[in-house]
This record gives sequence, C-alpha cells and structure tokens, in this order.
Amino acid sequence: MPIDDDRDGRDLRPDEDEPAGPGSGPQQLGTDTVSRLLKALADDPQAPPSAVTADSVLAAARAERTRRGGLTAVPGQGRPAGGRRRTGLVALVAAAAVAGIAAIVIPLSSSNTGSTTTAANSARELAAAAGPSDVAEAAGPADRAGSAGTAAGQACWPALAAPPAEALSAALPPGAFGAPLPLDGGCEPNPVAGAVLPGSVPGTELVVRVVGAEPGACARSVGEAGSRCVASGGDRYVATDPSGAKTVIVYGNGNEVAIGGLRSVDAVPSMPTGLSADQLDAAARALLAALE
Amino acid sequence: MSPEEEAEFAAYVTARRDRVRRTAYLLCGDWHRSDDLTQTAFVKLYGAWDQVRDRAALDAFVRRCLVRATIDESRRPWRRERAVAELPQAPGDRGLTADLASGVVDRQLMRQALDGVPPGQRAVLVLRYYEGMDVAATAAALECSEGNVKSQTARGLAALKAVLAELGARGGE
Repeated sequence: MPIDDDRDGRDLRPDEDEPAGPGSGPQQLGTDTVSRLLKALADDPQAPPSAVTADSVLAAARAERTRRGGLTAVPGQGRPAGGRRRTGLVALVAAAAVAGIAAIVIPLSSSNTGSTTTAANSARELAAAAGPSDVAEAAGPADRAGSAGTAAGQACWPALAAPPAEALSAALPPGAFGAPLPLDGGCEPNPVAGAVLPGSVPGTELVVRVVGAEPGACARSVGEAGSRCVASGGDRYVATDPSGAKTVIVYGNGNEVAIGGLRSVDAVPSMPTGLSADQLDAAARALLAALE
Repeated sequence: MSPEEEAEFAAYVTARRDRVRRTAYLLCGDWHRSDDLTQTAFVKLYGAWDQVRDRAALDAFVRRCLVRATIDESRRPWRRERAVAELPQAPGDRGLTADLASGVVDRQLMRQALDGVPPGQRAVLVLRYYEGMDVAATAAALECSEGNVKSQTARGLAALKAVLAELGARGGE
C-alpha cells in the first residue's frame, strides 16, 4: 500500500489523533467538522454529470479482458497481467541499455588496442583513401563475402568459355591437369569466369579465377594476413599462402586473372598446383590473351 | 460472465456509481479524473466478480481499487503532485466562517485544503471521515497496519488544519 509506514513507531491512540466534537474553525477542527466539510465538498451541485454508466463499464471491461487475453486481476492473486507487462518492460529497457553500452564500449576498446582492428575496417579505410571506384576491389574478405555471397556451392562463377579454356590447357604442362570444371564458392565481385582443373597428381589442382578489376587491385586489397598479393615485377603479382603455394595474378583489359591453388581469397591453405610461378604466369597470360 | 451476472453487475454499478464517484473526487480533486478512476475501479470489479463471493464485500473491494488507482495515478510523472512554495490564492476575500461546510467559496477552500494534504493521508481522511470507516476497516482497505492508519490520520488532520489555517489567514488579509 502506498501509505508510508509509521517509521517512528508511534502508536497513536484514537483520542490522540481524533479531536472529537464539532469545531468552529481551523483551530477547533474536529472530526465532525471534517466529515461535514468532506460531504459538502463531495455533494457539489455544480459537479458535471457523470460519464460513467453501466454500459460504459461493461464495454471497457470487455475490452480490457480481450486485450489481456482473458487475464484479469483477482484480489489476493497479485497482478498477473500488469506484473508481466512491467517485467517485460523492464527487461526490454535492460536489454536496450546493454546493447547501447556494448555498442559504445566494444568499438572503443577495439580502437584503443589496435591489434583487434578488423580486416574489414582496414579495407574500408584503404578504400576510402583509394577513392570510390576502388571500393569494390579494396574490400576485405568479409566484405567480399558479404557482397557476393559465399555460400558453399553457390554458382557465382561463369564457366570458362571454350577458346580461353583451350588456350589455358595449351599453356599448361601436357597431361598435368584435366579438363576445366565449374568453380563454385569463393564468390567475388565482378566475376568473369572461373574453373578448377583437377591435377593428374593426386592432391593437386589448379584454380582459375577471372574478375573485372583494375591493375594492382589485389595489392590494395588487405586481408587479415595483410595485402592479398605483392608485386613481382612488371604487371605480375603473386599471392603466397602460409603453406608456400603461390597464386599468380595478372591484369589486362580490365580483367584480373588469378591462377594457382587458392579457391578463394580467404581459402587457406590452398591446394598445391605443382607448378612454378613462371609456369603459372605463362598460363595466366595465355588465358588473359584468349579473353581479349 | 453470464448474462445474469452481467445484469447483476450493471445494477450494482448503477446503484453505487455516484457514491464511488464522489469518493474518487475527494481523493483526486477533479471530476473528470474521478470518472476515470470510478470506471477503473468498476472494471477491476468486473474482472473479479466471480471471485467476490460475499456481495457485502463489494463496496470494500471497489473502495480498495479506487484508492489504489488514485494513488498509483498520482505517482505517474505527468500527474505527480508537486510541492509549491506558496499555496494558491484563496478564493474570495472571506476568511473561514462557522458555516464553513456551506457555500461555494467554502467548498473551494476545502478542495484546496484537501489538495494540500499528501495523497496517502488524504485517502485515510476520506475513508475515515467521508466513508465513515473505522480504523480496522481503513487499514484493511489500504492494506496497512492499524497503527499506520492512526498516525496517518493524525498527520492528515494536522496537515488539513494547517492548510485551512493558512488559507483562512490569507483570505482574511
């Protein structure tokens, strides 16, 4: 009950707090006077007519019952609906507060430590520095995955056309790889063509990925381990995975041709190809020439 | 609720509406809010109609709902009563008279005086001196101890007396 407890422990006797008898003014304010005053106040002839009717009460009660799904407040049984609503509101406010604090604290702590800066952030910063046209190329693995969709098995790579496929096969060591098969997964922005060539030696394969990109885009794209590739003289770029396997990347006519064991930019470790960087470079250039 | 019970409930509402509304007015000080509070109390009674087996206890139940709703309402931020340094100007230039209970001006004085009493103490005064309830019944209605009712009664009367005295003195100036 909202009335404050009697903190000082006084237990007033009725005759202490109830000056009996009629009073004639504030100094003699008796209980009879108070009763008369209250009655006079309540029986105000100028009171507006009541808007409450039995019908209005019934309508409101039915609406209340409908709104609460049949739950009603029963004396002695607490306040089921009100209590739940209040609890739900408190939980909602608490969750919002936690989310808000997390949204502020986590970025702050990440930026303070520096070591936890994500590749996506680095890529975005790099993209911002490089300009709007390079945003797609400079996006990190996470962004690439997000923009192109990396669900396993997703067919995002067009098949390699016959002339480029023949040129590629001709540039590879005879008998080292089989016919090009469709490449799935590892989607990237602006895909042009993709293929995977199973190696004749078990455990080897050659992955070909062609995307639309400006020269040197791979060097500007930063992954968690750093830049995707490094310049290796001329217009050749080489990406080396932790196992030492290389992927050669060349550019021409707005295309980026990557040939090596990497199925995607974030597939680590890659499958070995059994080819040297020069052999990969020759195959890549042959393919690039056929694409023109 | 069956149609027969609804008819019984409607008859009870019709019979007790004015009395409940007056009590609500004494508690809250506004006729329109008293309508809201009256309806709230009756709606709660509707929800508990099946559980209130003793029909003689209906009035007490409605009274309890009314007081609880009034005090809950007064605690809401947009309705919270605020203490002011000075009481509002007393109506008219009359002081308190012996026939304080009659007349519009005296009614307004009493309204202002009652508004100057804290909601909890006001509820005790209304239940005891308007509803005519004894200490035990008031304690049951307010769900507090009888000692608390006694102390709140004393404090409420003292506050009422002080406000009336101040209003009277101001009106006599």
